[in-house]
Amino acid sequence: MATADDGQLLGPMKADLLSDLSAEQRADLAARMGLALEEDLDVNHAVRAILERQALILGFDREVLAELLAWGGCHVEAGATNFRMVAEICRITSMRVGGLSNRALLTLARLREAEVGRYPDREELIRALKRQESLRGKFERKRRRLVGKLVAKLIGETPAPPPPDTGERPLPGIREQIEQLGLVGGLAGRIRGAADDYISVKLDEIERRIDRKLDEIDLRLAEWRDQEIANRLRILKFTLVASVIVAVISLIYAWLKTALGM
Amino acid sequence: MHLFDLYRRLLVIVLGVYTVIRLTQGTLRLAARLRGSSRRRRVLRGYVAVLALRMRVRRFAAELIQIAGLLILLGLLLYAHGLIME
Repeated sequence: MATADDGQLLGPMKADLLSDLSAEQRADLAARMGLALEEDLDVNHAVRAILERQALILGFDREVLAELLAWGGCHVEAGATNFRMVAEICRITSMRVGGLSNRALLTLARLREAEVGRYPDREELIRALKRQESLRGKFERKRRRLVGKLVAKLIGETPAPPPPDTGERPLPGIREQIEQLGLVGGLAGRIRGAADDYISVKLDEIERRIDRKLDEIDLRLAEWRDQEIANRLRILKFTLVASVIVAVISLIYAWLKTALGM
Repeated sequence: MHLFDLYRRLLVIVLGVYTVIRLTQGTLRLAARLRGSSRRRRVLRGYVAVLALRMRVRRFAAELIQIAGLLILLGLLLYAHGLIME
């Protein structure tokens, strides 16, 4: 399988296909795998870098990728490939990596091309991830964090207390969203999230109403069926009662006829 | 032919004809409504089958017992009738 349709990378691509792509397409493909290709890199080196990255992604544990997705508040469809999951993880710019497991930290470090040793410990991984961030990136993130703080204060959002240990990352607040996506992106994400929540609540409500209505219809049909059967049985009973009455009269008549010798 | 014989024969003819006509009519109407290969018809067929299977005989137990009692009584009367006629 080797395709990248609708902007979603589904699987690895072979070297000859990668060579046929334009430099922009290759750079775009590499970016979706968390790989930044230098502009002056020749085709062979670029293809080799992408192939190496593909091999790395194929080796990732899906559980760890799922942990990273949950940590970043991202969602992918069930049965998504490693490539699809990685494409989502690469969009996460958060540096709040404290809650991640060691395996997730190592995977994230490899994806972000942080320089780590062969068997790094937790502190080394976190240090490497922080070191890998460029000065400009760090400055931008701090700026966004400040803006996020200001906006959160402005709208009166207080950071939610950490939930009991459920293993799930709490939903990001406006502060975290602006820190990750910038002011416009964060606000847009927030509004989209609120709209999504509203729609999903409404859809659930509609589903419940439809279920209730279907149950009602089912109940009415069952009652109608029972009523029909009861009516038929009643008619049968009346016919039998009439037959018994006529039989009794006939029996008396026949007995009288015999007794009187008629 | 005495009274009971007349009643019995008339009842068999009238009820027999009525029952056959109504049953045939009902069956044909139901078959026409359920016939077809569309998904809607298939679901409807399944639902009718489920509705029939979900019927509880216990709900009509009282009526059925009364009908059984009346049938036994009628059988006894017919038997008694036969004895007298002999």
